[in-house]
Amino acid sequence: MAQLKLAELAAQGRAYDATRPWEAEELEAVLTLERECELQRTVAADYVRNGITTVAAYEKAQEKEFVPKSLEDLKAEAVAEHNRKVKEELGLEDESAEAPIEETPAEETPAEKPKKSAAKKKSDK
Amino acid sequence: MAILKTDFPSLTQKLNDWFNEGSRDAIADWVGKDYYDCGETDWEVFNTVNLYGLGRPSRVADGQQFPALDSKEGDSMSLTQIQYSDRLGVTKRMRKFDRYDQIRTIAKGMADGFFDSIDQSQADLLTNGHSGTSFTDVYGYTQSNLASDGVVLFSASHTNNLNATTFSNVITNAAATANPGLDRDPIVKTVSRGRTYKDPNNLNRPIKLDRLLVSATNHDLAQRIVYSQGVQGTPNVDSNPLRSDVNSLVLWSRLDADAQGTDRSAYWYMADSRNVKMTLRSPFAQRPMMFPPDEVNDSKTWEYTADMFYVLGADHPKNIFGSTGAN
Repeated sequence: MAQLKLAELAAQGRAYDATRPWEAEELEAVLTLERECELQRTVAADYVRNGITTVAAYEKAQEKEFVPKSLEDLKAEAVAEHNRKVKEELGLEDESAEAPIEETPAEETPAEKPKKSAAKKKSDK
Repeated sequence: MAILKTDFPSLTQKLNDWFNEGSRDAIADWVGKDYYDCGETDWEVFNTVNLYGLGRPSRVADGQQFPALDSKEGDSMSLTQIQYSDRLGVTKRMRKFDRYDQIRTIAKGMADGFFDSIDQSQADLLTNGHSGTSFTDVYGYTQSNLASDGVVLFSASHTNNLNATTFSNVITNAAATANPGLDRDPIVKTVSRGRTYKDPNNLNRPIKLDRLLVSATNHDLAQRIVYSQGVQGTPNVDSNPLRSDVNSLVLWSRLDADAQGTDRSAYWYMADSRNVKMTLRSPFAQRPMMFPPDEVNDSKTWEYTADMFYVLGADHPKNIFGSTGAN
């Protein structure tokens, strides 16, 4: 079985991500942005992963001061979105948003500790 | 006289002889071995490293540290060995009635089966290497058709990790039309493109595309193009220079159709005979071998097994150019 180093290639902007190579059209878009817009390949790759695949679209993105998300950001977003959908489908509440905050007791002062242990000893007797 | 259990070793010896005889004939017809690196390896995972031809010395001052070759300016891939096996049964009936004629045919057929499959799998990586990312191989499994740069084997956009230059190993004709049919013009153009190939650092690294690989369908046309004394298809009296540029015309009948039966007869390739094995990798951990039998208890059949370990992959693709012949 032949296995390419897709993670390395993706880090160089030469594959979509660690699981798949570029489709032919995507690779063409990366090379076009790299050449026509004088971008580094990794930056051009980020634009293509964000759906900006033509020079015109790139120029529009520049006008709007759009900053493309990196591969890591896109992955994190995708995971968060996936988890949200799963919770929605299963009817689970978003625990992170609605979990009641437990009251944590104030830290005991060193002076209080001996008192408590003394009381405990008394009750044991 | 029936073959008895005491004849076990001698029958094994005979079967091995027939298997080897079959293998010898099949190896002689195995075209892929001349273009794939089929060397033996002890490694289960074979890691390749291929610089794009970037190794280049720099001028140094007296006592200056020598510059290091940056191996990041290349690609690598992992080839993990896959096992393939088969077995033949010598039945009680065959042994009882001394059917050596049948036993011999089965043993030779098994050897042929191994080498025919290997050769077809190697041809299929070429004929399925023009689009997509994978294909179904001769064994029915998915095989990647990507080169180590993550791009399909025959592409106009092979990338490198140094700069934005790209490289094409798709055959074109003089008018730059990609994937032309087999003709003199694209052969001449491809030989020239190979010779003028430059690495990403802009240093000329000639690729000597001296082998022409064609299907059986195209063989006659190819012979006329390459071997005719004058320029093929023209009335002029020029000598035909392709006779020296292409030093071997190879008929590979497995290019006519792939294992799935798709017609590929128009496809043709040009390879650099000295370096093509740096591109097409097929390390073997074990060549096809037959092993002594066990007796199956409920049928009294003597089961002889054979197996092999190998894998296929395409490294940096500059040493082979291809055309689908569609245009």
